[in-house]
Amino acid sequence: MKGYTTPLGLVGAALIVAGGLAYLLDPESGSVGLINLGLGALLVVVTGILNPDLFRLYGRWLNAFWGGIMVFGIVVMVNFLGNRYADRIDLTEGQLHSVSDLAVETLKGLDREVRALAFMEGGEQVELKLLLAELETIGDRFSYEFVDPDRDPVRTEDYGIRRYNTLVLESGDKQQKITELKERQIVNALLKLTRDRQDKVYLTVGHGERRLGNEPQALGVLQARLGDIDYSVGDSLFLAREQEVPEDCAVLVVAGPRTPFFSLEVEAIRAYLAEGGAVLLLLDPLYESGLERLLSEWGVSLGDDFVIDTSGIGSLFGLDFTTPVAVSYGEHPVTAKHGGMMTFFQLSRSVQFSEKAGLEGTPLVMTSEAGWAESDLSVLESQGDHTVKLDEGVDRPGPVNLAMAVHDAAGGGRLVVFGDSDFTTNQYFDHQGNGDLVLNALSWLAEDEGLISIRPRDPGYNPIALTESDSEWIFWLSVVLYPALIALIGLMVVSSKGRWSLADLSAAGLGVVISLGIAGLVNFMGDRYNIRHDMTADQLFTLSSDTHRLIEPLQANGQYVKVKTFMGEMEGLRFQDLLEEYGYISKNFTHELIDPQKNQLQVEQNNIRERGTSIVEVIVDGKVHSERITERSEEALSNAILKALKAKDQKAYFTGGHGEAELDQVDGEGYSILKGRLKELNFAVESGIALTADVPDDATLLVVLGPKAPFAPAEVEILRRYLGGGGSALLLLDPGTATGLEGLLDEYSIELGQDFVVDLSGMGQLFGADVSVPVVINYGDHPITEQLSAGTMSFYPLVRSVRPAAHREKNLEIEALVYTHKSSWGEMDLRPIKGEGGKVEFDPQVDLRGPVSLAVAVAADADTSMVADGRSRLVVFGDAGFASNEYFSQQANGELAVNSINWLTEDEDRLKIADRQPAHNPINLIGNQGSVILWVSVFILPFAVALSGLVMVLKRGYQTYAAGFVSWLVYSFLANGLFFFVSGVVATSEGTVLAGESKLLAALASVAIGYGIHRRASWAWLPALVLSALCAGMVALTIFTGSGIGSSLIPNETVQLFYAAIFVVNAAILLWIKRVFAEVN
Amino acid sequence: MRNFAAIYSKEMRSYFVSPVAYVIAGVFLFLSGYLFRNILMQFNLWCLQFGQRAQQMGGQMPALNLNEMVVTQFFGVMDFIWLLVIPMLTMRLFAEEKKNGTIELLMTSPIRTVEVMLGKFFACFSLYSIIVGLTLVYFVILEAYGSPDWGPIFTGYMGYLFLGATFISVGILASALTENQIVAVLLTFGMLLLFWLIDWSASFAGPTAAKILHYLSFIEHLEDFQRGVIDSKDVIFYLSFTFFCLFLTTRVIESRRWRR
Amino acid sequence: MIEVSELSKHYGDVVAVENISFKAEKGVILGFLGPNGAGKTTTMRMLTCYLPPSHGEAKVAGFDIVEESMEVRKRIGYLPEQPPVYHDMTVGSYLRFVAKIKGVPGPKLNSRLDDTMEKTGIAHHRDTVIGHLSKGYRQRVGLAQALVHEPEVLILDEPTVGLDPKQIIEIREVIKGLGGDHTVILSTHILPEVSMTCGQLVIINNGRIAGEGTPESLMAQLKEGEVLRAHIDGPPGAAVREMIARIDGVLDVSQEPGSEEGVFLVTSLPGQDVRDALTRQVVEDGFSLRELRPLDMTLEDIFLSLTSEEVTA
Repeated sequence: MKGYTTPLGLVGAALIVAGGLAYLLDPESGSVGLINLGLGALLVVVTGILNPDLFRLYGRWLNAFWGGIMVFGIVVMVNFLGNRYADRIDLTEGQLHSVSDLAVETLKGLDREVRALAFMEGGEQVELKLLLAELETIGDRFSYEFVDPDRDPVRTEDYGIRRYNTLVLESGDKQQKITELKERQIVNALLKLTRDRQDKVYLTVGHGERRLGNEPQALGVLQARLGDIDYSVGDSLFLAREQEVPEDCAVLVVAGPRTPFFSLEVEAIRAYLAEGGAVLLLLDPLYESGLERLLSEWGVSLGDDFVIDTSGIGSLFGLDFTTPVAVSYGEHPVTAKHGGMMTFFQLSRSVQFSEKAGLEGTPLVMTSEAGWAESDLSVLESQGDHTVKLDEGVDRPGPVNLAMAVHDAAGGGRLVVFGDSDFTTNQYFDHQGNGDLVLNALSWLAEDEGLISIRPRDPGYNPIALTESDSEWIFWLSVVLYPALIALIGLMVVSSKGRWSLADLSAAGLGVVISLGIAGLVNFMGDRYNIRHDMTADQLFTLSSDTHRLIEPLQANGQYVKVKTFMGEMEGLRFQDLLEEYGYISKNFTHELIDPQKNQLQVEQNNIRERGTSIVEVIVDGKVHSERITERSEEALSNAILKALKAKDQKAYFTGGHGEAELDQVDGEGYSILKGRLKELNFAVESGIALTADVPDDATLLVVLGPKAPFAPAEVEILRRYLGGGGSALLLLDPGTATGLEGLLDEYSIELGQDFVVDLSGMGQLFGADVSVPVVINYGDHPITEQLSAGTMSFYPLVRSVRPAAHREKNLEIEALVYTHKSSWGEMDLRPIKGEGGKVEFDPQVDLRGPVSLAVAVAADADTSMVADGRSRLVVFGDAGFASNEYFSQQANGELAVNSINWLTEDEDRLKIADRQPAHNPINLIGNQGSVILWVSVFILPFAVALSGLVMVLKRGYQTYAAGFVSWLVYSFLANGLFFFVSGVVATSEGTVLAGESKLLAALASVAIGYGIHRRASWAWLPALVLSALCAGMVALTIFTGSGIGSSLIPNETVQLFYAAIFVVNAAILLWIKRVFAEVN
Repeated sequence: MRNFAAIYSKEMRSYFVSPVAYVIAGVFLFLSGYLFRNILMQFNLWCLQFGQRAQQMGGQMPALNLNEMVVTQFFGVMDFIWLLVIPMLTMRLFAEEKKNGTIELLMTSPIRTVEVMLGKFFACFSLYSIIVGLTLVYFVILEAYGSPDWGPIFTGYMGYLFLGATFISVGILASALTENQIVAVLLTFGMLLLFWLIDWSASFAGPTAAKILHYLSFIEHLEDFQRGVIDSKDVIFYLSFTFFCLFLTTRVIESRRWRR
Repeated sequence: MIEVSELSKHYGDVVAVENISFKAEKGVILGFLGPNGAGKTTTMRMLTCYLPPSHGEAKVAGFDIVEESMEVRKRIGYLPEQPPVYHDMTVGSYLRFVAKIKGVPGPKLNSRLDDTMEKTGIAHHRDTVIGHLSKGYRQRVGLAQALVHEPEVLILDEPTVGLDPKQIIEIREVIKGLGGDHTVILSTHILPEVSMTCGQLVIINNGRIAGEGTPESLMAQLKEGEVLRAHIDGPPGAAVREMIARIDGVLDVSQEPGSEEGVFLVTSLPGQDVRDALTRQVVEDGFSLRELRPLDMTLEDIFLSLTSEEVTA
């Protein structure tokens, strides 16, 4: 009788615990839990009566149990309290992590709810989170929330967030947006948000200044932006009437006056400035503002000039040279954040500063060296001669200063002067850095002293600057001496016990050194004379024999090739592999990868326009010759190297004497950009040669650039002889003029139309071009045009048709390059373009029906009648304007011109190398194929290996391993018991009576079996087997049928599988170690 | 030669009898299986995505190369696992002999130290090769679902065998240096990691030093193998490194004679 | 079979062994006696070519241990202090491995294995893992590995240390059986063992040979006189001691240390036997003679006398 009381007691205790936990989990429906509790208590009392000494025996277990509960409770309590009343001590030097006192006062003094919304990339940023949490603990009216713009686009739109990492402080209807997420800026925004003081900005009127409004030239956008940062803008200040600047004026703005100020008004401004006022002057060139004397008192002098910028950077944005682009900025809060950003000023004058007592002047905006202040203003008049040259002495050379900030430290007055007002107008405000520049200027001018007083919070700038010698001795100390010292001590300790005699040590040392030497030598030779086998099927890493023939002799004839590629590390991996293979062929080939983002300077120096451009520099007996390729392929690279290696200096001659266009002219009609590109392609350029004598034989290219007068027959004869001798020529012939070349061109089967092409396709409208400017999107099949990607446009202001003639010289290769749209035609009636009236309409008899060819390329080889030896090439375009400065950088115009030049001057032996790309062989796994792979690779294979190991090991020692397995069984059954117990508690807390109890019972059974196995009791063997089979079977059932009670027990499929697998293994083990149970008793 | 065979078979048997080999193989295969599956699934996902987009873009699709994205990637990831596993394999080779005095048996038997060392080296190398060989299954699976290029796979494995040989030679050297197996493991791990990261400091060193440091790094030489190119310079590097370590090991074992 | 002349070994300035010389004929069992750290193990390690000597030379079976160390190693079976066994191998596979590396030719391998296991009584443990064997059986496996290739010379370093008495006796029997066809060098510091098994003795003390020869010759060298152990009982207080002293030829009478009253050690001049005179006297005085036997000089005495103070051989 007594024997059975212990299990009874245990069941009682289990029920008490289960009931208690169930009640705790879910008090409402805990009635079932309470029943269990009561039942358990009853059982315990009964066992107490039946077997009193039981308690004595298990007494110490019980109080240990209760002891455990007590301790656990205390620990939880301590943690709870600790969390609530946390105190932070910040030991860092600059009190980095604690909040400044001003911030604390502001937060405590908040009289209204303020909410901070952080729109962070990826939704989270730890540093900011810590700061905001800190602010929240101090100010209980301040709350914050992180928003991931990608996941919550709607809210991002509502707050008009344009960039990641922006913080919006919102209180009521007012908002403050900041991007610099530092404590000082946040508190500033908080102050602006909560202080009702509204700063007022006044715009002067009455002198033709720019008005507030929405037309392109007005300042509507500026006004809106100022509104965002709480500045209200009034434009009614007519100084002449008011005679003084109003009291609440934070900043006085004078935006582009056309007529001078009266002396009365100047006096008012002077007084305002003297009392610490702030003035923003935007003064355009050509106009007198009347404020010159006041400015000179503040050390500022305005140049009576306008600034020219020939750096060509503007051309990237379609700007011409009269719009200087600012590249570098002064060290001043206004321009602190403008590093790397462009700002441009349409027609600006220069601004100078001469030192004045008590005034600190800082230049704000400077142009590059390639700009200068041009004092000859006549150029700007419409009919003036447009050539602009920097004449020494008169104009001020670059870099020119376009804006100046002056601060009167004593009186507190602030003045910012810009040499232009257009950059603040609606048209230019949102371009690049213009808007920010004027806003920063205004916020600096209106800067409220109180805001700047916060202690600098950023950790302070303490970099380490290791001189060369420092890093040297640190290396020797940390990497060599220190370890050597330790080794020496170790050695001495060891050798002191007489184990190593000096002779032995030195012998060993010698041995090591010799063997090291041998290994080093072998490696050195291996590295120098290495052979490479490419085993890939597509031969990805083998270069063509042409390239090998090109690169291998480099070392022999002392030539060096250096390739600089402008692209990021992770781009063009294939091209990088190729470059490495080139390097393996010869040591004289070196390549370098330059990331455009990282070194802006190099990009500018080599004026790289597209990513992925490579510059191939070849050094041949002292002379450096560079080629440039954009295509990233072996063919392009090898050809560039070939061209550079064989570089005879190419010369391009431009004919003169027929009113051809001027190469050095920099304005829209000039061709300075074309000339620059020729220089990049290593052409020496000589313009204006008269065809009186034969074309000099060092000419690689002859260019006829928009002649206005016809060529004389003698000149045509010279041209014919030049072409006959294998020369190449580029002819750009504008419509409406006789050229005298018709006969010569006819010999080369080229028909030059005496018309001008009209294009009604409407595509011109995109560019504001009228019908006389045909827009081309389809191109002929020719090397010049094949690289143009599909859909690029090119357009030609006033072009004539140039067509392959009907008759065709035998084996002459002729190809039309460029076709207009079919709704265009060649208009023979030239009167409209000569300004003599006339109507433009299609006349079927006379005019040439579209689509009209505008350009032709001819290659005449030796086997044609015209050429004696070698081959001659000819490209004729029906227009010169498309390559002028104004159009050169539009769409594909420039590219077409450059490609034509390249094709014309191409060497005969151009390499043809097929490009090897890794073949495209994707895989597609459908349905459960993926999971099959999962099973094979992740479970079955390792499991099989481990199992085979187990079998091998078992074979060895039955005795020791059997014990191991018994303990495995005990643990697995106990774990199983716990698992059922927990699920039982959960079930009872959910009020399902039967399920809860059955699970608790299963738990107890499992634990009992575990105990039995532990004592190797023979009765325990069979039930253990049955339970294992039961569990495994139940779970297997759920896996295959997908339902059954197993799924309620273990939701996750993989875990179910594990569970079943464990119990299958248990059953196997039980069968295997059956003897253990039999033996013991 | 018979002595070499005797040592070799004894070491092999002791590897396969003790649970060490199986545990290591099991853990390694589990990790590599997991990695392989993920790399494969990732690639499969890309194929699906690009597949749909290809229809929209009219067939113009970046080259989804099974080799580049799966084979090379898989090899690229695997070498680090070996850095962790091989020290465990090599730690017992000599350290255990010294601990239970069987080194005296070997040293007083009529066999040369070189034979002992080579026997042990090749036994460990064979076990390593078997475990690496087991990963071939993944490429059979790959063959079933796609058409991998067996060139880079072959060179990838070759690269692994060379790398393994070098790692094991370093492990044996460490095992010969100390009786205590834990010290042997740490020593091996330290040396392997050093040569693994050595090229990192190249960016600070001077040009020639940088070139040497790059040359000494283990993984630099593996890149060619993983891409499908066998370069004699890498083969020489691995072989000479292994030779050097094995030579040192024999010297260290011989030196037992100088000491008590 | 083994000739050692002026063998010495220095580690830096520590002198482990200082020009040791001795000879051992074929079939002899030579006892190598000495306190711990006397240089026994170092000498043995030099003989088995494990450690190169600092100077001096030794020949085993005619081969020099430095020049022809391979030949020497073929002919030596060496059981170091700690049996060189692999705990994870079975006895059979271990001995097979040792036989191979000791150069036992293939065909003879199995017969040698069975024979050695038989001899050392571990045949029934052929497939047990050595790790599971008891210390005694492990020692037997150690011995087996030294015998498996039928070496001409056997060098055993304290083979019976750590064994229980029964196992010690068994091992001794095995070693005794080896005499005759093997030359055995047995190093030990258990003296009864030596007296029972060894035919020749070398006593070594801090690196030098303190004494050499057969046990008898050593005793003869050191014996100062005959010693009798007499156990005479008489009435209490009787002057037994004086009585013995008076017998002529008796040099000294002393109570045997540690035994009970009435047991005396009687030292007499060398070569003179006083036993008859003593018995007659005892009868005359009416005492009773319990026991009277001559006491040879025990090895302990030899050992102590040799190693306690400097005795030049």
